[in-house]
Amino acid sequence: MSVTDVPRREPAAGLLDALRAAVGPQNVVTSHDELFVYECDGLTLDKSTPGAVVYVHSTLEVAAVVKACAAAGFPFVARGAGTGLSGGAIALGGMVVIELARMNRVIEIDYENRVACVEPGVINLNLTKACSARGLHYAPDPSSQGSCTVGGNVAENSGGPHTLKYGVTVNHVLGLEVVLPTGDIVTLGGPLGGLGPLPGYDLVGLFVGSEGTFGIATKAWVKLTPTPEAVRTLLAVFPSIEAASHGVSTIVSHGIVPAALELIDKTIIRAVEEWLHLGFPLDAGAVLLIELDGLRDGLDLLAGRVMECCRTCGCLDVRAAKDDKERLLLWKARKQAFGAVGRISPSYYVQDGVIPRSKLPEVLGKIEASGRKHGLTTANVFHAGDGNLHPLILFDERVPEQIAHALACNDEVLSAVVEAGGMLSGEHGIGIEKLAFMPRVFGEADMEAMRKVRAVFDPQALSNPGKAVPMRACMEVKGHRPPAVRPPMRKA
Amino acid sequence: MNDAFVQRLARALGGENVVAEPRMLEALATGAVRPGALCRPASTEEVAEVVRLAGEHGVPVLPCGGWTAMAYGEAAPEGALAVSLQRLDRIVEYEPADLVVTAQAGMNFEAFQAALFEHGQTLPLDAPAHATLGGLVATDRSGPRRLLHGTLRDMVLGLTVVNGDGVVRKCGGRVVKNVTGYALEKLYIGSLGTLGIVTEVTFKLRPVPETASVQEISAPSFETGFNLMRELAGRLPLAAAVACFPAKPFSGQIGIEASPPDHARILRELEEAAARCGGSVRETGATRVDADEYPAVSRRLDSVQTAGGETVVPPLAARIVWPSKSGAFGATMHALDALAAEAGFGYLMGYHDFPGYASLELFANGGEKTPDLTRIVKTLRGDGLPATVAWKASAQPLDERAFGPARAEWALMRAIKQSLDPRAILNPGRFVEGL
Ligand SMILES: Cc1cc2nc3c(=O)[nH]c(=O)nc-3n(C[C@H](O)[C@H](O)[C@H](O)COP(=O)(O)OP(=O)(O)OC[C@H]3O[C@@H](n4cnc5c(N)ncnc54)[C@H](O)[C@@H]3O)c2cc1C
Ligand SMILES: Cc1cc2nc3c(=O)[nH]c(=O)nc-3n(C[C@H](O)[C@H](O)[C@H](O)COP(=O)(O)OP(=O)(O)OC[C@H]3O[C@@H](n4cnc5c(N)ncnc54)[C@H](O)[C@@H]3O)c2cc1C
Repeated sequence: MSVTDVPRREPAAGLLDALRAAVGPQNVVTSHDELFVYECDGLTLDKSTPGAVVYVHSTLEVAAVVKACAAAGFPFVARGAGTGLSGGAIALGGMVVIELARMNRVIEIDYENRVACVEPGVINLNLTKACSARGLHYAPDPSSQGSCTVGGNVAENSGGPHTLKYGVTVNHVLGLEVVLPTGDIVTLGGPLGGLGPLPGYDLVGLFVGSEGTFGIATKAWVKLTPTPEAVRTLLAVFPSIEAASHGVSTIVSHGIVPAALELIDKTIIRAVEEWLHLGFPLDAGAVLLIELDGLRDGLDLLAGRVMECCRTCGCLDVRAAKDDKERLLLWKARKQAFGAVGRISPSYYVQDGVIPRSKLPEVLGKIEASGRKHGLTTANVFHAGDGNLHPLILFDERVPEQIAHALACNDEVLSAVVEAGGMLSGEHGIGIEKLAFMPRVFGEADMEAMRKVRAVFDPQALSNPGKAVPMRACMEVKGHRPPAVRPPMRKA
Repeated sequence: MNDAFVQRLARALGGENVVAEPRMLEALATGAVRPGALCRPASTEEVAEVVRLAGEHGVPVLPCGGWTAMAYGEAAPEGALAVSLQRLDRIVEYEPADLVVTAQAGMNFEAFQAALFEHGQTLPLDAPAHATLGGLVATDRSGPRRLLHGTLRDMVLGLTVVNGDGVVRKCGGRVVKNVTGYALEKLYIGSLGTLGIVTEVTFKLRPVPETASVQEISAPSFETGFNLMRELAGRLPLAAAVACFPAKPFSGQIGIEASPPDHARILRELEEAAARCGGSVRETGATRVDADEYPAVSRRLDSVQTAGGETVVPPLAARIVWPSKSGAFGATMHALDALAAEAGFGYLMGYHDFPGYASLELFANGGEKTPDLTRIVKTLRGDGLPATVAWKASAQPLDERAFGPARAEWALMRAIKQSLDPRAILNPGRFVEGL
């Protein structure tokens, strides 16, 4: 399915009036110049201009807006910061965009019980900032945490480098207030949700990761995590990506769960170095960025073991960051990696498949071979400890034959992931980008159940239709062309 | 049980795998369960065939594993077809290097853990030896170590289920992180077998800790001991922290799972903190463990709930949960104590999840009477604790809306039940609110 396949509808004057009545005319955007900002998310090559954008400030406003859309039978999509990488927030067919960025209050922090209640527009990092003085933090830390919202994280079930040890978003959400696609407000779970079974089905666990198709989260109760008293950050340099991925498998198979375990390959290292000059070894095939945390007593022992694992896999050099400054530099390199790639390639596909960790060397080898076969550069920067790949296939959209090769390579990479027993997405979501590939990992009956459950929440299919799960029974679309990322240039 | 139906079952599974003899069924009957027949499918496909047949004949289905939790929830439907998963008892795929395992749902917990321990790995739950993996998923009753390891919801990666329409479906995956499609696996966890029969489960595993121990903390008063536990759990990575009750004046159990240096550090801090408030620490479980000894320590933690009695664990009567705000708890404990004395029942309580939310586990501790849930909930609420019953055995009468005020969520849950079990044949009425 491609964006252009969705027939475009314009909101009728009556609907626009109802929206204005719900939130005030100053909060309804309809002029083309302003709508333009909302035509895509982090997946910048696919675009669709919204029919209108509505700024909301409260749950009741969200409910009123959703009711107006439901009455008109007009589809809508929630939007946080628009950093999604699978096209989740794109207004297919000109949907009404409900922008939640203004609902950005941290409502309450219960320090004793380590629970925060927040509005969905709170920026991920701001929640950590709000509680860090009391020795707590919000553990899920997507690389985009300085801009993405908690609501977007909930919708995508986002991960991050430290979710290896601490768990992804769903492991931290205790309860949600949701405006259903009918406009009704429900509370799923609640601050007690963390105890395991509250009576009833786990609708919180179901909602997290539903990509805005079950309704709009207007409040979230999330766990806060004690900040560890000590941290060791290691940089291990390997001659090749195979050796580095063996290092990952070895660490995991020794039963060591680091706080974070990231792999960065040579293409990324060079791109980052050229841009930020952080002092990474340019001759390395790949590096592992390994973070260990916990009580200070056991950390040296653990660090020693990790170093030993690396050495047995042919690591050339492994050293610990000597202070906080050095540690932050290492993380800066990791977090700016996608941005750096934007400087060396006009466009790229980035996949998000997850594979069993023991299969890393094999699958990374296949990715590289596929790139070579098609004359394209592939690059890798990913959450290796989880087996969550982010292979980037670099190409130039202006060169038609490169597009064909990039598509073929993309397909081969995906096949390698599926053959290894993996899944399509570890954290970015299916959105529109991977929709056509769903039949590769789920049977028709599996997806039928997903559609039925979706219909429970959204009988009219108005909340972000066309995302996450194919709406109709379908075969995989042959010759499907997934949209690529053209990263915005950003200053260092 | 309808003869034609029994014959069709016997043709599908083999006569030896279908039991319809009233006398033999009598042996299976418990207070909560009186099945009309029992069958033993050997594969996911056979389970699906059984469910399709039951659907055609309008016979309710009661999935069953180790029968350790049949008293949970509301009574099972009379005359149902009990579908035993005990022949689905194999590990399907286990790659220790990935810390991921897929096993059939009828495998019992003890055999499963034994297979994992061989590789120095474990599923960090405190469950009875005869519980099955499917039963664990269906009941989702996590134990004291959820403080460190989280609940089953944090460990299940994927499931194969047979829904009420007799169709086999997969959800989730076999990788440790996954957002491909909706997380339908979450629905089955804790659903008491009302949405589908689980036939395979994929779990994320943990390495067996190098050092594990159980420490008993005594303190001069309940309040002192309780605050001490709260303070410790607030700053140290404890595996479990449970206050046992009644225990005069105070007895708490702390589980530690850590590397040797971390273990030593935690222990030192426990001792110092206990000494400061006039209490003491005593070790009740092994410190240095290898895979063989680990189960013993993990059982010891489970028996925390029985205040030291290791072997006999009384049936759980109910679990009540509420947010633990400072201060309110001591007074409540005294009120409950008086209530127990007046009602004359033996009971036990474990209070864990320091420092977060609290749960109170009530056991019918061999006494004649069982706890009066309605009164307990009222007492807690009277003390300003928004207590709610998370679990109750079917024998427990409860006249109030102790599951909390009516929630709009129920309508969604009913619709989900309707969509995955359209004929309402899976454990009808066994779950909360008639689900
Ligand atoms: C440079 C970069 C690095 C990234 N790194 C990571 C990473 O490490 N890990 C990771 O997981 N992701 C990463 N991402 C992806 C992205 O940041 C996450 O998916 C993030 O959670 C999206 O949040 P957002 O607020 O931008 O949501 P949007 O992009 O605005 O929306 C995403 C989806 O959520 C829905 N949605 C938003 N708010 C709500 C709500 N309140 N209720 C219901 N649905 C809602 C939208 O409809 C849409 O479908 C990265 C992105 C970039 C650009
Ligand atoms: C003394 C005691 C202590 C316990 N302590 C703990 C603890 O500390 N931690 C912990 O996690 N748990 C604990 N439990 C609970 C334990 O997890 C359950 O007893 C067990 O998981 C139930 O498994 P079973 O196979 O015996 O299920 P059964 O008793 O056979 O069935 C229980 C319910 O699950 C349904 N069911 C069973 N199998 C399936 C299936 N395959 N698919 C769908 N539905 C199914 C049944 O229909 C029934 O409603 C304890 C239980 C006892 C009795």
